[in-house]
This record gives sequence, C-alpha cells and structure tokens, in this order.
Amino acid sequence: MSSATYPAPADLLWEITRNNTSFLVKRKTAGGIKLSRDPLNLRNVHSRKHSGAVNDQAIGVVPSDKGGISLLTKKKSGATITHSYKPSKTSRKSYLHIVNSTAKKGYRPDLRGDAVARASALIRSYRKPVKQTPEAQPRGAKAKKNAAAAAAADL
Amino acid sequence: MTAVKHVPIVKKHKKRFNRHQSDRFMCVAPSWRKPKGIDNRVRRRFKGQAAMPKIGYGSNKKTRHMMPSGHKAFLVHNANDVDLLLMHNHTFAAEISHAVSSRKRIEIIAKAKKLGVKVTNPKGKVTTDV
Repeated sequence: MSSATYPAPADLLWEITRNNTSFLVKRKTAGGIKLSRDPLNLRNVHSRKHSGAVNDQAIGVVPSDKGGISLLTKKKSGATITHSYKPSKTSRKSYLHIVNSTAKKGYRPDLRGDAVARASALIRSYRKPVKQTPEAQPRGAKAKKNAAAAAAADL
Repeated sequence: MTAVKHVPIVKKHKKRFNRHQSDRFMCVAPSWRKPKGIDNRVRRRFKGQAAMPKIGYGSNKKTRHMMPSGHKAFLVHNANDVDLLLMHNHTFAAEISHAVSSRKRIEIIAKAKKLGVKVTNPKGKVTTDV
C-alpha cells in the first residue's frame, strides 16, 4: 500500500485482489484449487480469512535461518514484525510463545489453532526421519525373475 | 503423509462413453456426441443400447478428483511449490510437471520428503543406477 496513513478497507482490498494477485496459485486439477504464497497466510489457502495482505491483523509462521521458526505479525501501519524462536528441546514452548504473543492478547484469536498447527508442521519437518524408507522389493513373478537374473549377472 | 479417512471411492461407470456407431464407421470418432436423430434408438434409451452419459454418473463430491490413495493431485514445477502443500499433505499430493529436469526433480522430491508430502511420480526421469 502506498498510502500508509489511509489504508484501504480490508473488504475492498479483498474484492480487488481475490481474482488476481501475485500470491495466488491456481491449478486446474482438483476442481480448480486456489492456494496462496503469502508468508502471512497460515494455511496457504486463498481466502478472505487467511489472506495476510488484506487483513489488518495477520499471523505468519515461517522457517528462520537458524533452524527455528519465525512468527510474523502485522502492525497497524502494514509493516511486518518478525519474532524468531531458536530451536528448543520442547516444541510446546514455541507454541506457547506464539499463542501468548497473539491469540492470548486478542490478536486474531481465530488463527490460534492454525498458527500452532503450522509451527508444529515446520518443527516436524526439521526432524530427522526415525525410520529409513525400506528399499523397494520387486513385486510379481516377472520382476522377481528379472531381479534374480540381474543379481546372477553381477556375480 | 497418509490421506485422511474418507468414504469409499465409487466409480459408477468405469468404461468410456463412446459415440453411437463409432464402432461401425471409421469416419465416426469415438468422442461422445449426443445422438439427436428423431428415430435414434440410443437417444430413446431402448433395451440393449449403449448407455448415455448423464449427471447421475458423477462421483460423490467428497471423493471427486481423488486418487486411489485418497489424495488429490497438485501440479508442482519447483521446490517452492511444494511449500504450499505443507498444511495440506493429508489431502494433496505433489505431481511433478512433465517438463522439469531430473536435477530439479531431485530437489523437489527431497523437499517433499522433508515436509511429508507425497509425490505421485517420484520415479520419473530420476534413476539411481546407470
């Protein structure tokens, strides 16, 4: 927004941007799904409620440089504030921080669950896999025969 | 990564609807065209005739566009597109676009694995042995 002193009403902004914006990702598959690349969009869905660019207040949870997560919130002027949390032993601490600094203060309490869910998904993605995926075994008589022949050729 | 539980997927008509008499004439393509003739026996739904497509054959809204795994496909062109599916990995699976190189496919697959996103075509263009 160029005029920070007179921010356009959110409803108007949404009507302008709902059909086309740089954040919007449309696909023809799955019945024409619409997703959003907006960092202030917790669920990446293109909707009035979750749009970060449109709403006066919005929460974002993004990965930070140090392997932790960053909480983004929006000021009244439209500027984004970033709070970074270092990776902690207990992920619950991060959720507590997020909820205490947003929903508990009456800042978008409707996004409480989404913010925690996104933080949880990000933290889970940092974890190393507990189990390695097993190597694919040949299935079917023909595939097994081919595998046996290949093993015999190696010897 | 596994899809959310859903009602069983029922396909009411698995065969294609072929155009009437496309089996008799080379010049009649099998693409469906509704018969319009006044005497047409298919149009009048006579016994033993080919079935015509109609809205009743549509899939349950809950399972529409769904793959047998229970996911819906989302076309991705690069690793950033996979990020969009972080919160949707139980409903959507990434499908790598056909024109993506094997080098970038490896990046996409690694990212998807990290985020727990299923990739429908992980073997395409990516071979481990020579």
